[in-house]
Amino acid sequence: MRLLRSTLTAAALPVALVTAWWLISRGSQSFFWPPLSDIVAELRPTWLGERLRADVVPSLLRLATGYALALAAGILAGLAIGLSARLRQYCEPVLEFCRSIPPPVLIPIIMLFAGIGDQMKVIVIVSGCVWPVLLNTAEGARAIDEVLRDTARVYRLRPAARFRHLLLRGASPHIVTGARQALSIAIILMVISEMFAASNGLGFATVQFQRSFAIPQMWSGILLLGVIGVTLALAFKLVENRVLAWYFGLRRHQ
Amino acid sequence: MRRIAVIVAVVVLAVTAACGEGEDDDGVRDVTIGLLPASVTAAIHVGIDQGFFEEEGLDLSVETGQGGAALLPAVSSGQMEFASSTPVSLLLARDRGLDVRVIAPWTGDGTAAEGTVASANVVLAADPAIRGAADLDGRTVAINALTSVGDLTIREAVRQAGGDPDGVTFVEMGFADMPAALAQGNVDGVWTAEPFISSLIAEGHHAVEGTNNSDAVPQMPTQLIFTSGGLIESDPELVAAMTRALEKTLAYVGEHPDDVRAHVPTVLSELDPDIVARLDLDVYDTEVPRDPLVRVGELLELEGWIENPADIDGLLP
Amino acid sequence: MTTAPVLAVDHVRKIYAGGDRRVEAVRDLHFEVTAGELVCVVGPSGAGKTTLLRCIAGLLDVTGGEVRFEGAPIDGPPRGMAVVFQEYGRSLFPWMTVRANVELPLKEKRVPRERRAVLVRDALATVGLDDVHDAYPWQLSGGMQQRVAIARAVAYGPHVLLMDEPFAAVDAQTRADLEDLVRALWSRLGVTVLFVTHDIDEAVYLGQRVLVLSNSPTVVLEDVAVDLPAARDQLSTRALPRFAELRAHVYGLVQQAKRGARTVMADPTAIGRPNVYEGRTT
Ligand SMILES: Nc1ncnc2c1ncn2[C@@H]1O[C@H](COP(=O)(O)OP(=O)(O)OP(=O)(O)O)[C@@H](O)[C@H]1O
Ligand SMILES: [Mg+2]
Repeated sequence: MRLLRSTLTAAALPVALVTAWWLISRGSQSFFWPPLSDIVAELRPTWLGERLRADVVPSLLRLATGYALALAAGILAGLAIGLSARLRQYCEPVLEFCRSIPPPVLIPIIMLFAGIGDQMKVIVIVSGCVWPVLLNTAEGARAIDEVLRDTARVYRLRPAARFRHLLLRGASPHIVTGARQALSIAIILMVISEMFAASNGLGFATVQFQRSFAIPQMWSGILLLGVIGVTLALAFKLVENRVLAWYFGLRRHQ
Repeated sequence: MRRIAVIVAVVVLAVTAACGEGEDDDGVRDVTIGLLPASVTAAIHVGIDQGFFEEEGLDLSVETGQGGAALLPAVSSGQMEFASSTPVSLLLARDRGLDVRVIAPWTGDGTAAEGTVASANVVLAADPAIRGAADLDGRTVAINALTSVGDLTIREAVRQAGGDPDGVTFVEMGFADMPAALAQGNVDGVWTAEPFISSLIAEGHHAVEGTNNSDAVPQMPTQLIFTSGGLIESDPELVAAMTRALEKTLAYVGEHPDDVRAHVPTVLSELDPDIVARLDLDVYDTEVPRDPLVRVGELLELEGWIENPADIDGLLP
Repeated sequence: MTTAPVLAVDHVRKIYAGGDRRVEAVRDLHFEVTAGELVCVVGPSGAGKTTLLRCIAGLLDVTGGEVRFEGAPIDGPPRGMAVVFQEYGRSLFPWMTVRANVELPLKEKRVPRERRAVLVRDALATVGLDDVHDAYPWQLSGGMQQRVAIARAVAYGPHVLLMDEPFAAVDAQTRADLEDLVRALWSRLGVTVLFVTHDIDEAVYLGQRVLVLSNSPTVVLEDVAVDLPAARDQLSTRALPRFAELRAHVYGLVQQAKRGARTVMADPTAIGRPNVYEGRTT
């Protein structure tokens, strides 16, 4: 019952907006502002055929690869930095510098060493989403309870167990926060990276539709990107609820 | 969904903000023309200096902030009255139902230039094995925008030279990024424009024979000045005045290339003066040639980029 | 009976040095604990009890002297030692069930799976928690959480069990139950227990010996032997006249310690029979 109600609450605004969009745009004659019904009608023929394999899948693969690499690198470096005050002192200014560079301005430079293929696009995604993961993880590692660390030492947890059961889980509420921020950055960079030296991809195809004045198809690309974003956010929430079940329970009990 | 809502909101704002057109007390009309941030735009400043627009009662502002892709939507939404675009984009837009109409010529076919290197776009390559267009088969070529003049003409050039146009891989890249990509070997050829052509040639790269626009479509204009059908209907005097001013400008710049060169820094303020001095200037048409546009239309149909025969009559004045 | 000490605290000194601030927490602590003993440590707040315990547990390096566990100098937490911390809420892994919390140290000790299951079940049964194996620590009351921590220590099978004010944060009734649990575990398992508390009643009720520490920088003020019968009971033991005498004696010592005494003054309530340590008699 509660689940039903919260689902309804969450869905209310989007449903209202989509309905409003549908009604307002109905019968629209504007070239750049076609009816939502036309856009939805374009979704299937535009994206489910050849483009699924040629554009959608490559985009999602690059997104997944870049996001996974950013998570792995961000968590490892973040734990190291969070655990060592010395390392933190050395890294802090550099980290602040790195995170404040918007990745799109780096693309021409990344192209110089990574070429113009998938590798470049994955690096662009990583270079943008590694920072929130890294910084949040470092914060999380610092926040791990001292008594728990002592407990782990007293019971002689080996490095692997310390990493898995103490550091990773202990920092996980912060890691998840960073990973959530990184996910939306990753989607944005997936699209942006496809605007440079691309020859396929969801963002690329959408821009091409715009260039060639295939406006309903362009909107369907934007719609698809939005749907992918929402789907990934929902999937993230599911994973989060599983991984952090203990944390939400703990907070409710306090 | 939230993302979509934001996009919707932004678009609504952009569309509503896209209104506004002014007339001063003295009857002078404020109009805006959108042109590329490139040396070709220097010509319009020559025209303004010569007073051609003032004579027609026009106070013209030149907008170069928006890239070529944004100019068609900007004109059809009324954000600006006039802009330049390629015949390919204009014919594509008409095919999709966007009412754009050409009111004046702008830059023409590069072969009319006096210099040895054409000022229009051409493919440059590093590998000496790439001599002619057919050698591009199996290679990667960078162009500034896909589904536009670049791939249309290069594919045609390869086809004419007996190669397979589907064998060429095109990647989209800004002109400024092309030299590095070529040097790194990320691409085999770059389809570029001045001032990059001059500097790449100076670095030892060579032009690939038969890849000039004019090889695929002789006498093809590179850019045309257009407006929206709506403005032609609602304010034909304004359009006629603009056309007259542009024609005077084009006639004048053909005779006074040095004036154009002098205005290049107005458009590209950060360009090295040495390069400005050596730059191959664009060639301007004085009338819109019909036959090349028909040819472009045929190619668009051949490539399957448009569904119906190209609407040349609807596009031309 | 000359049993080798399982724990030897040999002129231990601890100075906290952080930046340019130096705090001498422990000056010269010297005592031994024989296998199977239950020794309580009391002292004023800030006396250095926690510091001492952390030095013994190998969580803290000593500045001078050394701690020996079963003859070997301590260098990091040794095998065979378990610690129950005061902050039960922070010493259990909140992302693990009760069972997983108790089992983890055994896994790290490479105890085979079947044996682990038995040890976990027995330990939880011993502390009276048969039905919460799958609960998370934060779903339990404070007293139950501390029982889980004790079960974890017991299942680990330590030779020495260190407890730092383990019951300071639970209510009085739970506390009495837990005290009896510690006595029961100690006599049943034969484990050596070093129990830090600032509660004098608790120290006398639980211990065979009570070490009274001075103010920081700390020395042992007196080592009081508790000659109460081994079978202890919350009602009858606490009602014994001897309990009251020992309690009064330890109370007097702690008062002296608070006033800054480094050696014991002549005191009319000094009726305990202090042990004798290297050159220092009372
Ligand atoms: N990490 C530290 N850095 C500096 N000084 C410390 C540190 N930990 C403890 N101290 C100091 O050492 C002394 C002994 O502290 P400790 O915590 O061992 O006392 P305690 O007997 O356990 O006190 P309590 O009864 O309050 O638990 C105190 O003066 C304290 O301020
Ligand atoms: Mg303490």
